[in-house]
Parts: sequence; structure tokens; C-alpha cells
Amino acid sequence: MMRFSISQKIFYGFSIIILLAVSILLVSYPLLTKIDALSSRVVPLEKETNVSQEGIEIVRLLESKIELYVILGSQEARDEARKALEQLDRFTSKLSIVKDLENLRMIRISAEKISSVADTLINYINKKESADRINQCLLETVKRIQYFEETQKNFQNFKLKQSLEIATEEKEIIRVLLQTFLILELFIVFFGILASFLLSKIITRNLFKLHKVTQEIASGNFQTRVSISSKDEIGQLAGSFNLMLEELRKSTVSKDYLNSIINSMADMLIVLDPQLKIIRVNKTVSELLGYSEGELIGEPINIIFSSAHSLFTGTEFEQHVKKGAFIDYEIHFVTKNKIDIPVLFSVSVISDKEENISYVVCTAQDITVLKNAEQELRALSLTDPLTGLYNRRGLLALGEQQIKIAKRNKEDVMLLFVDMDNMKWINDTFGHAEGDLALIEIAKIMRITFREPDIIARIGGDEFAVIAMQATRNEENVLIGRLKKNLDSRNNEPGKQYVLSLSMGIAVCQAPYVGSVDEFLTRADKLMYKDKRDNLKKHSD
Amino acid sequence: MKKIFVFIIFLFILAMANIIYAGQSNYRGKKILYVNSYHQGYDWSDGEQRGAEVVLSGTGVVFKAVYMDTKDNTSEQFCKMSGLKVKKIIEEFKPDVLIVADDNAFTYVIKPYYRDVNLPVVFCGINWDISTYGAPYKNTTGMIEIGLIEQLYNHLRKFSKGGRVGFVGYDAPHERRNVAYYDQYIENKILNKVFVKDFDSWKSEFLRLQEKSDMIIFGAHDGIKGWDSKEAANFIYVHIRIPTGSDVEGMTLVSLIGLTKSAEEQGEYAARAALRILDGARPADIPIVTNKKGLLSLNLHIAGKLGIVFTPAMFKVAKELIGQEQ
Repeated sequence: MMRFSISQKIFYGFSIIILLAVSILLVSYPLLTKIDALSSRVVPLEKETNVSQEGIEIVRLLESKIELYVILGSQEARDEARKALEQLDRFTSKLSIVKDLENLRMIRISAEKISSVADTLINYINKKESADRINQCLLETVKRIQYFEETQKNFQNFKLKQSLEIATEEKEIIRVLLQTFLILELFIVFFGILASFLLSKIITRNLFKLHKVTQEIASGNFQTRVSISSKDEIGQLAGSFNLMLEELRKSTVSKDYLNSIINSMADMLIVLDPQLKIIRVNKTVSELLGYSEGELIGEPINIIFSSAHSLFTGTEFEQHVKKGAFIDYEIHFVTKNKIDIPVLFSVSVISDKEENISYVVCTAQDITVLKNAEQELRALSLTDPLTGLYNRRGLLALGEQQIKIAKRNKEDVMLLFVDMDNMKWINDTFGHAEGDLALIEIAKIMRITFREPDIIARIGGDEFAVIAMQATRNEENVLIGRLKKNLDSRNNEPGKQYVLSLSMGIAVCQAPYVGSVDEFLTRADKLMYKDKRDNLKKHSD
Repeated sequence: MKKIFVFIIFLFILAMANIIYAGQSNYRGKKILYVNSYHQGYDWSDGEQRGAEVVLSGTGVVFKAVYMDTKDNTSEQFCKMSGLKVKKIIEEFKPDVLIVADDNAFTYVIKPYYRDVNLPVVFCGINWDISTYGAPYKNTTGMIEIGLIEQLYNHLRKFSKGGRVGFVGYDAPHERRNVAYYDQYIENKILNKVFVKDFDSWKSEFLRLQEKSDMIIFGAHDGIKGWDSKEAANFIYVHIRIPTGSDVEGMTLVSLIGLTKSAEEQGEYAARAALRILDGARPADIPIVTNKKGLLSLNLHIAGKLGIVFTPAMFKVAKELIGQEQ
């Protein structure tokens, strides 16, 4: 099949239509020529008809003049009649001279006869011939006039018949002509419509293909290609388009690829418009918060901020965003089912050339597991965060170990129970912070009082316990003395607002012994309370 | 819009079909009964009937003619019997319109039986005056038959020296009545009226009338004893000195100018009036008229004898030329 360009297609299409139009002219030309020939026949027909009409008018004029002459008999009437007769003679002369009026021969002969008899009649009347002769001559004149009229009428009818024949012939030609025109016009219209349809199809078919491919590209499919094999201008355009697509595919991340990345993210991704309304969320957001993507799109970001725990209430988020990016804010999201989720929330802002916000990209990491672990770890801690000493759990855990070791080594174990006096008074008088400082000072005194392997613990608000290893009953007083000495040293330091004092109870377990740390604590606790009562009694005395 | 267009086309077709149907069949099935006072073969009444038949042919009208035969049978009894027979035929035929031609049909059929009834009646050939029958009735109209005496007088006056008119005719009541009507039409210009019984009297009265008239009008020769047309023509040609004329067909040989009536004109008018009635017109809406057409006869012999030259116009309209050279 031959390949044509679009301009060639249009040119050939219109050329065919023009050829058809020319063919109409060629077909109609002979018919038009025939009509022209018929028209040329009409011209002499008109001339003959006009001349015959002129003849009848002259004859009627003569008749009226004779009538007047018969009635009046005057010289004047006779002259008028003569003039009319001369006019008739000129008419007959014209008919005999003009060649193309040969068809009027009978009219001419008839007029000549009138002329002849009328001349005689006028002479008779003029000479006052007998009425009988005049009447006979007059009768003859009238007869010839009637004959002339009849001849003229027949001629007119004949010419009318000829005119009708010509008109009929013309009508037939025109009918054929119109029929031909109609058929050809219909053919042209049909062909024109068909050609226009095909032409538009040829042109638009490839354009539609291009359009479809552009739609696929718009939806992110860079793998698609235009399949146009024609060599015309659109074919060339399609080739260039495919090349462009190939280059584009190499340099552009497809939408599907991007989507798959975004949706595979473990963290939540939320994209906001400049009005901080959600325009895009990834799959993780839907999974964690329980909202479908459709439920969130168009909603303000505040919908997912927990009102109980969030940092961003009111317009605070907007103000933060205006300042720029921020990372790792620990805030809470709220799910569709109103459950708070702790997240690490980061925000970055995408701006245009004029520094106007185009998009706000938010990422959030679910830290629920982390927070739970932290709590568990906090619960499992063996040390007292305030004083840095072991806490009760630490004392019990380590103490049991130490007791087992001492039991195995058949060594004595001493447990000292210490309670800080006036703790409530210090808190009430100087505040809890000062109370905490007092506890820290006690811890410090206890650290410098006891040995490294000893287990020193804060087991309650103002209660301390020490498990001293390898200590004998003989050393009981040494340790208490050292503690009191160190306590006094503190109390004697200048600037101290209050005096620290301790109540103590000591329980010593000699090997081989049985029992737990709790039993030692109970025994020591009782002794400590005895000491506390003694101290109170001493102070009251 | 399309529905309105289709509806208009439908109405147009309906209207056209109605017009075509009406044009073709307006008179189809309608019946006209023609009552001829006389018999077939009588020139005058045949002419009247011919005129009616020409007009009605092709209209679809059912036409029937009935003859009373009262030209030769003039007795009162016969005429009445004939009238009754016609009445019976009318009742059987049940015409939509009845045409009656000449006086006897009116006298013996319409006047006694169909005066002011629903059946429309068109008359023709009624001589001079319908009021003699107490007509017109509300169901009658038609054409009255008169002699064209006024036109005849005007023609003769062109060739006479004066306006005095003499008349000679058969001595009978109907002739005297005719002359009375003549006088009405030409304003009592007939100064000398002579009624004769025989041919000799006719000749002698003619000679006498020439002396005191400027023109002479002849009545019909029917009834004049010893009448000889050829001899009359010769007599006139020898003795004539003034123009003569007649409205009677048989007297043109002795008249310079004859102007006779057209029987066809009567029948044609009656038939046209009948069609108008079938179209819905009432007889009272159609005027009663008199005849206008005349058949001109020119006698060249007499003209030559009198030195009269006719005009070309007269020759052209003349239906009869007596004495023309072959």
C-alpha cells in the first residue's frame, strides 16, 4: 500500500472532488448548448409573432377607417382610410422584402388581397357607385379581413404551438439536466462525506493513539509506547514521541515505583498541603491509625494529633511548621478508635522559589514498644536513682547472693537498718528538694562509712539498710561508731541548716545460720525502732 | 415541531382531497328534469333544450327531458292533462331542480302545482312578462323571452329618415299583445299599427304605411291567409322605399334588417341557473333576466334597392346575408 503524507491525502481527496465537478460541467455542456440552440429558435419566433400582431393591428385600423368612411362619406374620412391602406401596403412590402419572415407568406397574401379590395371599395365610395356594388365590395372586404384575421389567428396558434414544443423540449432538457445534476451532486456529497470521514479517521486515529499514550504516561506508566506505523507527519511525530519516552523513562522514577517505596515504609508518611490538610498518606498510616486513605485525604492534620498528649494543640503545629523543619518530637497520635499511640514525629517543608510552602512532609515512627520496654526496664532497676545506692530490690537480690556466699564460707553477716530521723520535718520545713539533698548526704556518709563489698541500699523513703560482709560482732560497735563520727563531721560543718540524725538497728547472723534477708531486715527493723524510741526519749529528756 | 409539521401536511392533503373530490363530484347524483312545452323537432324548443344540454353535459347531473306536445295540441284540456302527466313524472323522478321551457309548461305545471313550494324551478322562453302568471314565486327564477325590438329599431334608425315606426302583422290577440310590448321598449314610437288577415291586405297596408312612416316593422306571417314568401319578397323589392325590419325569423326575406332571438341563449341561462341552485343558491337570489343575444340578418337586395350601404361592423356580426353575390 502506498504511503502518503497528510497534506498529500488532503490534496488528492480534494482533487477527486474537483474532477467530479469538472465532469458535471462536461456532462452538462452539450445540454446547455442545446438549450442555447432552442433559444435561438425562439428569437425569430418572437419576431414573426410580433410582425403578425402588427399586421392585425393595421388591418383593424383600416377596418375602422373604412367604417368611418362608409358612415361619414367625407373627404377627410376617405383620406384617413387611404392612409390606413398605405400603411397596410407598407406592411405587405416589408413582408415581401424581409427574408426571415417567409413564414408570414400567407399573412402577406391575405393582406395584399385586403389592400386590393379595400382600394376598390374606397374608389367605389368616392365615385358614389351603387349601394349594391359598394355593399358587395364591402362584403368582400369584410370577408377578406375576416380571412386575414383567421389566417393571423391560425399563424399565432401555429407559433404558439411551436413555442409550446420548444418549451416542452426545453423542459425535457432541463429535466435531464437537473436529474444529471442531482445524481452527480448526490455522488459528490456522498463522496465528499465519505472522503471527509476517512480523512478525519486517518488523521484522528493516530492522534487518538498519541492521546491514549499520553494519558498512560500521566498515570505513571513509562513503559507504554505509541504504535503508529504510518510514514506521514504523525508517524514521524510518534517516532519522536517514543524516543522522548525512552529517555524520560531512563531519567524518571515512575509513580508506581514511588508508591511501592512509600507504601513499604515502616514509618508513617503524611504529606500536607500549604493549609496543612492531608493530601497523601502511606499504607502504614492507615494500618496504624485505622483510617482509610479516603477518610484522611482533605482532613486537617489535627485529626490525628492526640489532644491529651500532643504538643500540638490549637495553632502550635502551624507555628512550628512556619519556623521550618523539626525532628524527633515525641508526641502522640490518636487512632480512629481513640487510642493514643506514642510516635517520634519529624517534619520537613518543601517550598517554592518564593519561599512559599508547597508541601509539608511529615514522618512518624511508632515508639509504643520502646516506651513499654523503658517502663519495664524502669521497673526492673536495682538502684535508687536519687542516691545511687541499691534499692530494696537490689538489696534483696544481692543480699541473698551474699548470704549464700557467706553461708558457704561459714562467715558472719551483719545487717544494719538505718532510719533517717526528722525527715518529715525537713521536707515540711525546707521543701522536698532539701529533703532529697538530705537523703543524698546520708547516702554519701554511708558510702564513706562502709567498705566496698558491703551492700548499701535505700529501701524506703528515709530507710537505709547495709549488709556488711565478713563483719563480726566485735566489729559492730566499730561500724556504728564510724557512722556516727562521719555523721557528726557533717553536722559540725558550718552553714548546715539542720542536723542529720539516724536511728539504727543491727542484726548479726553467725554461721552456720539459716533465714532470709527479709528475716534479717525484720530483726534489724525492730532493733532500729528500739533505738529510735531511745533517741526520742533521750531528746525528750 | 415535527408533529406539528406532519399535522399541517395532513390538513393540507385533506383540504386538497376535499377540493378535488368536490370539484369532481359536486353534481354527481343530482337530478334535473327539463319540461319542454312542445315536441321534439320544433326548432325553437329544440334550440332551447340544446342550449341547456350543452351546459349540463359533463357535470355529472342526471338530466331528463319530458315533452308536453302543446304546439299542435292547443286545447285547454290537452294542456291540463299534459300538465298532470308531467306532475306525475316529477313525483316519480324527484328532481333537485326543475327547468320549464316556454309558457305552456309554466302555465300548466308550475302555476297550478309548484307555486311557492320547496322544489326550485327555473323557467325560460316565457314571453315578455312573468307577472302575468302571478310570478315570480319564491321558488322560481329564469329568463324571459322578449323580442329585440329596441336593437332592431336602433339599426333601422341608422338608415331611416325619421323615427316614425309603422307595424304590419297578423290580426291575432298574441300579435297585438306583442306590439303593445314593442311600444314599451321603443317608447311608443309605433305610430301606425296595422293587423291584417290576408296577404293582399298585407301588401296594400304595406304600401299605405310607407307613406306615413320612416320605417316598417313586420310581425309574423303565421296565420296570414294566402301568404307567399317568394311573392312577398318580390313585392317588397319592387315597391320598397323605406327601411324595413323584423324580429321574426320567417320575415327576413322582406326585411332590410332582421334581428331574431337565440333559443340556445334561453336554455343555456336556465341550465346555469339550475347549477347555481345545486351549488346552494336560492332561486330568489338569482335574478330574472331577459334575452340579449340577437341573430343579425342583412338583406343586400333591399339595401341595394334603397341605396343603403351597411357598415363593415354590421357585415362582420351578421349571421345571415341575403342577396350576396357568389
